[in-house]
Amino acid sequence: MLKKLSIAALVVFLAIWPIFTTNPYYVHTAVMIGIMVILAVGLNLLFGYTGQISLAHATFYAIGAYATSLLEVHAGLSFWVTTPIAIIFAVIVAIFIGIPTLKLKDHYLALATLALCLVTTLFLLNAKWLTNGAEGVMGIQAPTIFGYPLQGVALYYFVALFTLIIFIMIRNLVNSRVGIALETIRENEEAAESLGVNVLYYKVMVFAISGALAAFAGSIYAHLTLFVSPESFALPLSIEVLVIIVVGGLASMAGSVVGAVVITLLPEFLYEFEEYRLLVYGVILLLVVIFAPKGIVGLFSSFVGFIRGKLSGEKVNEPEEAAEREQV
Amino acid sequence: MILQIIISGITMGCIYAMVGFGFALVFNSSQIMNFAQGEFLMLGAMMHYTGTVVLKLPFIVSLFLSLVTISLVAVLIEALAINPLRKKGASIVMMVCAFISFSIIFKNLAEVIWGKYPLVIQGFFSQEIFNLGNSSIQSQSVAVIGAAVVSMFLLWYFFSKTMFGMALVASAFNPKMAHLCGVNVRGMIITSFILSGASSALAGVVVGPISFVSSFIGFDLGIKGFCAAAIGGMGSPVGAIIGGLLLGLLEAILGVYISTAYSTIMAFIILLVVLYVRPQGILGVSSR
Repeated sequence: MLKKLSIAALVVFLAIWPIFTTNPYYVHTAVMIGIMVILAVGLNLLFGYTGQISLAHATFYAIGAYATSLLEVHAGLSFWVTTPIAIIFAVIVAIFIGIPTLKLKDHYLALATLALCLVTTLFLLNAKWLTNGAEGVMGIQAPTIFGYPLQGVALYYFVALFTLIIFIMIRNLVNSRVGIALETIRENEEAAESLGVNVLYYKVMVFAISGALAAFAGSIYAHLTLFVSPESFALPLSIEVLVIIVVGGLASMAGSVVGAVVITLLPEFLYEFEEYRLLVYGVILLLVVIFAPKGIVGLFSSFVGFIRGKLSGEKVNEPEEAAEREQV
Repeated sequence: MILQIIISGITMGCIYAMVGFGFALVFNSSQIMNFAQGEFLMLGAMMHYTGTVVLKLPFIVSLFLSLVTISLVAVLIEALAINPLRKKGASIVMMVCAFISFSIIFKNLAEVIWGKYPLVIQGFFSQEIFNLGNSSIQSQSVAVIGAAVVSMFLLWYFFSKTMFGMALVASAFNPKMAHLCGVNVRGMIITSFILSGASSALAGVVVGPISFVSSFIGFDLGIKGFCAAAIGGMGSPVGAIIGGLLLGLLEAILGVYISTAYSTIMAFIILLVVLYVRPQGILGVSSR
C-alpha cells in the first residue's frame, strides 16, 4: 500500500515539476537522467540479472545516435522512421556480435566487449566518409509531433513516458518465467542448461534487448543535443553505465533508477571540483564494490530491515530479510 | 627501411610483452584480470619523471624508486580490495569492477598530480638516433629490448631455479595443494602483485622517452598488454611474450603499409578473433 502510494506520488511529481521551473538546464538534465535510466535498465538486465558483463553498451548507444542522425541528415527521413530502423539495426548487430561473444565468460567477456567498444570508437573516428570523424554529425532537426517540435519540456514528457513504459516492460520480463531462467543462467550455467534453459538463446536475446534499449537511448540523445561526435560514445560512457548499476544495485529495477539519478546529478554537486570528478567516480565505485556490493538499494533495504527489527524488538537476520524483500 | 620497421615493432612488442607478462602473473596466481595493469606502467613512468627531472636523482636511483613505489601500489591494491573481496567470496565481475575503479582513480590522480600535458623524460642513452646500414634506429629501442630481456631472464631464473619461485608456480597451479604443502598462498599472491607492478613500472620507465608520458598512456599500452596476454594465452607468461612480439610487429608493419589508425583496429580485431576461435589463447591450456 505504502509502496503503491509512493510510486503514485513519484509519478505525479515527475509529471508536474516542469511547470514550476523556467530553467531549461534542469529539463535538459532530467532528459539525460531518462536516457541514463534506459541505458542502465538495459545493462542491468544483461549484467545484473543474467550475469553477463558488457563494456560494449556504448557501441549500441552509438548505433542509435549515428544511425538516426545520418539517415536524417543524408536521407531526409524523420525521427519516427529512423528510430525504429536504428533499433532494428542494433538488434541485428547484437545478434551477430552476441552469438560468438556470449560464449565467453567473465574476464574473457569483459575483454571482448572492451575490444568491441574500442573498435567502435576507432571506427567512428576514422571512417570519415560515413561519420565525419572527430568533427561529428551536425544539422540534426528536433523531431516534430503533430507539427509541434519535440524539444525542451515536450521532449522531457516524451522521454519520461517512454522511460516509464520501458521500465514496466523490463520489470514484467524479469518477474516472468524468463526472468527466472536468466537468474539461473547467472548463478549456474550448467544447471540452467540441464533444466532445459537454452543458455545461448537467452543470453543473445537479452543482449539484443539491451542493445535495442541502448540504441533508443542513443537516438534520444542525438535529438536532445542535435549533434553527435565520437567522444560521447566511447569507453567512459560504458563505464558510467556500469558504475550506475553497480552503485544503484545489481539485479534491481529500482537500483537502475536510483543509480542513474545519483550518478547523473553527482557532477552538478561536484561542480567546484571539476577536475576531480572522475576521481570521485572511481572512489565511489570502489567503496561500493568493497563495502556495499548490493548498491544503494541493497543498503537501503538492509537498513529498513534493521529498523523493523528494532521496532518489533526481535532479532531479524538481515541478509534473509533483504533477500525476501528483493523477491517481492 | 624494413629493418627499421622490424626493430620498432620489436620495441613496442617488448613493452606489450612486459605489461602482458605482469598481467599473466597476477592472473596465474589469483585468476583475476588486472584491468589496472596499464596504470602501473603510467605511474612507473610518472615516478621516473619525478625522480629524474624534479628531484634530479641519478638514473639508477630513480628507476629503483619507481619500481619500489609501484610495487607498493600493487600491494596496496591487493590489501585494500582484492583480499577483502576474496574473503567475502565476491564474484569475479565485482573484482573486475574493483580494478576498473582503481584504473579510473590512478588515471585521474595522475592528471591531478602531474597535469594533463605530456611530459618528456630522458632516455637511457644521450644520443637519440644511431644509424645501422641505411636505416636509423632509436637508441632507446636498445634500452627497451635490453630491459625486456633482462627482466624476462630474471623472472625465468626466479620461477625455475629458486625455491620461492617454484612455490609461486605451485600455488598458481593448485592453491589448495600448495597450501597443504606449507606454501603461504596469500604471500604468493602478494609476491605476484609485486612482480607484476615492478615489471610494468620498468616498461613505463623505458617506454617513456619513446612515447612521452601522460596520464593516457596507461590505458592505451595496458590494453595492448591485455591483447598480448590474451593472444598468447591468458595466464601463460611465455605466451604473453610471444603475443606481445607478434602484436608489436604486426602493428608496425600494418602501420607503415596501411595506416596507423587501422593497425590499432586490427590489433583489437585479432584479439576478438583469437577470443572467439581459441579463447585459451595460442599457448593456453583449455582446461583452465
